[in-house]
This record gives sequence, structure tokens and C-alpha cells, in this order.
Amino acid sequence: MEQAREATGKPTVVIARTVKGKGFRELENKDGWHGKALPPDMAERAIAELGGVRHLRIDGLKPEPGEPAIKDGKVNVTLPTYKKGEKVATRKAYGDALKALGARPTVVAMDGEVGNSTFAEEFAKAYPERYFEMFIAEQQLVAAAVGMSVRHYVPFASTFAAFFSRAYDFIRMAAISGANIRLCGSHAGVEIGEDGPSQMALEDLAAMRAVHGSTVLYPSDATSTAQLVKAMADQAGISYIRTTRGAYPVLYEDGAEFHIGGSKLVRSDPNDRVTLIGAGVTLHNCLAAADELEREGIKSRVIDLYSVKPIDRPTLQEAAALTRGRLVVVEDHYPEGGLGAAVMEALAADMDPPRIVHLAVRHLPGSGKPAELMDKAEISPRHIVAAAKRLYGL
Amino acid sequence: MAKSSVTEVRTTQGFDFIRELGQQLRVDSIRSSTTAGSGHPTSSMSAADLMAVLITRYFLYDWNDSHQPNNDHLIFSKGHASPLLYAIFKAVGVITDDEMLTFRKFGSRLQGHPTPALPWVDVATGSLGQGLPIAVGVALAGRKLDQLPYHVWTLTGDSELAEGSIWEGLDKAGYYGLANFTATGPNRVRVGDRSLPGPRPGLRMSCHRDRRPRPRADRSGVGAGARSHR
Repeated sequence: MEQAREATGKPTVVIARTVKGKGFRELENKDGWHGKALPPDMAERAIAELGGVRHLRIDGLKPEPGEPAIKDGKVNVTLPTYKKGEKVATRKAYGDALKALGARPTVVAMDGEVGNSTFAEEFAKAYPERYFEMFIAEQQLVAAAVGMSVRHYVPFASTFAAFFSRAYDFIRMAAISGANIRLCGSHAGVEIGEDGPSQMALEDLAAMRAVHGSTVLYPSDATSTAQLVKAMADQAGISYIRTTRGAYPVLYEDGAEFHIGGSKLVRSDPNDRVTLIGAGVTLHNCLAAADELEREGIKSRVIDLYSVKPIDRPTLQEAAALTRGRLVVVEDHYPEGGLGAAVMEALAADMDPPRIVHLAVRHLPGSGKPAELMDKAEISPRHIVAAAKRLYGL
Repeated sequence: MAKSSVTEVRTTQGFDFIRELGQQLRVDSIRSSTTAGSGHPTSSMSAADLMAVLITRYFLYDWNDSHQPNNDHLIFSKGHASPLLYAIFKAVGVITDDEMLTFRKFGSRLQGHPTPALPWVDVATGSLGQGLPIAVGVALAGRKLDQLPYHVWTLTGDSELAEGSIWEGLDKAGYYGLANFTATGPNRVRVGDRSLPGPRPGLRMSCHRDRRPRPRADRSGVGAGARSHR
């Protein structure tokens, strides 16, 4: 241990020859005694053999006082801005926003060797001394974030959304630890296309929603992504943001506000007949469906439910009331535990609960173009139109 | 299980004292778990001497100020050895003997496995294979961000060395040259009725690029801490 303390350049592993139950011969190295308390009579014998009860006190050795080299400070973060209509992938906006947040000296980032895909590399290029490559080791990726949280840093860990499932037990335990960590899962859903189902996160929303005290975000455009990434920096507990591979039009003007627990009414009219609810890529599909419905004379309300947990219940209730309980929820995720489940759970106790058509990925997907796969999964605009009309009784 | 009224406060670090302390940690691990009616006393007894040596001689920690930035970190990756951890907390005077005996009881902060409900616990452990990788994360912060000389110690269990995450952690500790990180663990696997060979002292861990951390083997018997390292 002395040598370990003084080691330079490399870590130390002390491998000790230990004996289970050491000190009480009746039990030493005996099978069948793992995780068992000694019965009182046996405990008496053991304590006697060990020399009896003692109350030794030690003060231990104190370290020299020291202060961390990095201190938190009030810093203005200038978020990136995007032109409405410009096509930008939300994963790119994540990288841009993370780089902007790097102005705060306690913000750190780590990635599972896919930084050029998650766009964590934007941060890495700007702040290499605060970026930690964790290679293809997702458990260590989350563990490193938890370790940084112990030391009061603001860690952002990113990889493909699908691969956080590999570190799920670490995420679950991080919640028990009260750690403050931020996770970004990119390449979510069938939308990733050609790479096929091994790379598609279709369970992540359910998994992350189930984590104690978690925050789950799924923005649809670059403007909202940047703002939500900033909000995550100040959010306690486990927060998760799901980003999309493909580039889609920026929907919101610079200056539009997004907050944890919020939503956006992207389209609304007093004469709305049906509500379309999406997040991420499916919001774009909802907007395309709304255009088609409008052409057919049906006004629809479109909600960007970017905060999956906590969820904006009042906005959902208002929409349900106005559109007479006609709700279509669309998600690029398996049907269990995701956006649809979140909406249904939020409204289930209402006096007059809505009728919800839930469009989700119900079959095992394969490879193909994003539009082909979304259509096959029945989460494409034409399926949303059909669902809305069915609810409307057409 | 009569309580002694003798309380001795020592700063002495002789091995006679450390041996006595090790025995106390064993006795207290038995007392708390027997009082609870459950727990892992045998897993605590095996590591008692290692921890007695560590906390008296090499662990730099201000027990009156858990927020001191330069405190060492001790993460029990084998969280089920909580009786041992709580026995240490009694020995350094941050919990009383009475509180130690509330182990596993409803409302007690001394839960079955450690959590940060206790100010001297950094992270919850008990899901094996996690404490070590998290300790690597803390050490990474210490070396690359804080740039403070604190040391990060982790106590691993035997069977948890089979977890893939242990490799993930040690691999990165080597890659980042984390000299401020020490993993302490046993060299054989023995849980339940299984007995499997653990890592041998000759183990070499190959790493990314040309950095090669080498585990330091301590083949001394338990309680014979005076023996030299190899």
C-alpha cells in the first residue's frame, strides 16, 4: 500500500491471499457461509476466539488541505443558433451545445469511441483536457461520469442510444448514488436506416423513464436540442437526451424557449379536431400528416412532446378536451414504456380519458432507408393520417 | 455479546495495534450482522486486516470533514462487506457502537449495502463490478481535473473479478496512467460452494498503446502485513 501511494505513472493492484471468514476456525474457508449471519451462539464463540469485543478508536491521518485546480464560476454560455428550415441533425446540435457549455470550466464530456457520430467530438476539439475517451466500454463510460459527479463536475456521457442498455445497471445504481450525470443517446429508432436493428435504440425511452428521479428528453430540432442540453447541465439526477441520426428542418426560431417538463404546441387552432403527438423524428411525420389532413379539411393540433419525463400533463389535457379525446401518439420506439405509455399514464386518471391511437414500432425492423423503415413500422405520415381519420370517424 | 466499556484512542500505527484493530473489525462485523440476523460477516472478515492497515497507515482522510477536497476516496466495490465498512466507521469515531448495531434495520442509514446516505460513502455499491470502474472515474478526475494528490482506493471482492466491467475499469486506469488509483482484492474466487482460480500474481494487463500497468502481487498471509511487498 505504501508503494501504491507512491506509485507514479501507473495504477496498482494489490492482490492479497485472503481467507473467507478469517479468524474463526469453525468457518474459515467453509462452503455454505456466504451471506449468512452467524447465529448468536456461534457469534459468541467467534467473538471469544477473536479476543472479545473491543472499542479501539483511531483518528486516522489527515491530508494536507488542497483545492481543485478547476473551480466552477458564473460563465455566460452562448448557445449556437440555427436558421428555421435549415436541415440539422439533433445529434449535431448536441455537439454544438456541448461545446458551448464548455465555457463552464466544470463541464466535462466522455464518449464510447463514437464521438464523431454523437458529435461529442465538437467538445473534444475545443476542450481536449476535459474530454475523456472511454473506448468501446459503455459500463466504464457511465462509471466515469459517476466518478466525475462524485468530484462535483458536470459530466455528459454519449454513445449510441442502443448501447446505454449495456450500462443500464450502472445507470440504475447511479440513481441510488444520487449522482448527477447527463447521458446522450444518438442514433435512436428505425430512423437510423441501413445499419439495421442491432444499432437501433427501441427500448431506451422505457428504460430511462424507469430510472428513479430521471429526466428524459427527446427534441425534434436543433434549436430545442441546444436549449435542452443547456438545461441538463443544471438538472439534478440522471438526465437522458435522445438524438436523431438524420438531418431534419429546424422548426423553431432562435429565442424560442424549451424547458424540462415542457412541450410545444407546434400547430393549434380553435377548430382542431384531432391531436397529433410526436417527439424527435415522429414530430416531423406528424407535421407532414397535419398538412395532409388540412388538405382534406381536418384541422389537427400538433404537440412536440420533447420532455417525455417529466411530462406536460396540462397541455395534453387541454388538447384532449379541445379535440374531444382524439389523440394520436407516434413514436420511433417499441410500444412499451415510451412516449405513448407516458401520455397514457399521464391521462389515465382523467374524468373523461381520451381515446388514443398509439403508433409505435411493433415488428422487428431490418435495414433500409429511414423513410422505408418508418413506413413499414407504421409511424410514417400516411399512417398518422389514417389513424387520425379513424379517430375522427372517417 | 457483552460490550466492553474500555475506549482507547490511539494514533499509534504499530502492527500490534493494527492486528488488534483488524480483530475488532471482525468482531464488529459479526456483532452487527448477528444483531441484524443477516448480512455478510465472512466476506467482511477476509478483508479486515487489509482495511486495518489501510486506514491506520495509508488512507488520508479528515473524518471530521468529508468535504475536504483533498480527502482520499475509499470505495467498497464489494458492497456486501458493509459490516466491515461500518466497523471502520465506528473505529474512526464517526458512528457510535449503538448506531453500528442498527445495521439493516428500518430507518437506519446503515443499509444492507452502502449508500451515500452516509457522508463518507461516495457511491452506492452492492451491484458487483461497479465500485472499481467508478473509482477509476474518481481517480481520473483527481489526476486530470482536480490535479490533487488524493488517492482512490477500492476494495474488490473475489467473484466480482469475473465481471467484464472490471476489465473495462482496469484497462482505462492503465491507459490514463492513474497512479492515484489502487485496487485491492483477493487472489482466489470463493463464493457459495464454488471455488475457482482467481487472477494469478503473475498477471500482466496489456493496455492501449505501449502503457502497461502491472499488478503488484502481495502473497502475504492475512494479518501478516509486515511482510515486504514484491
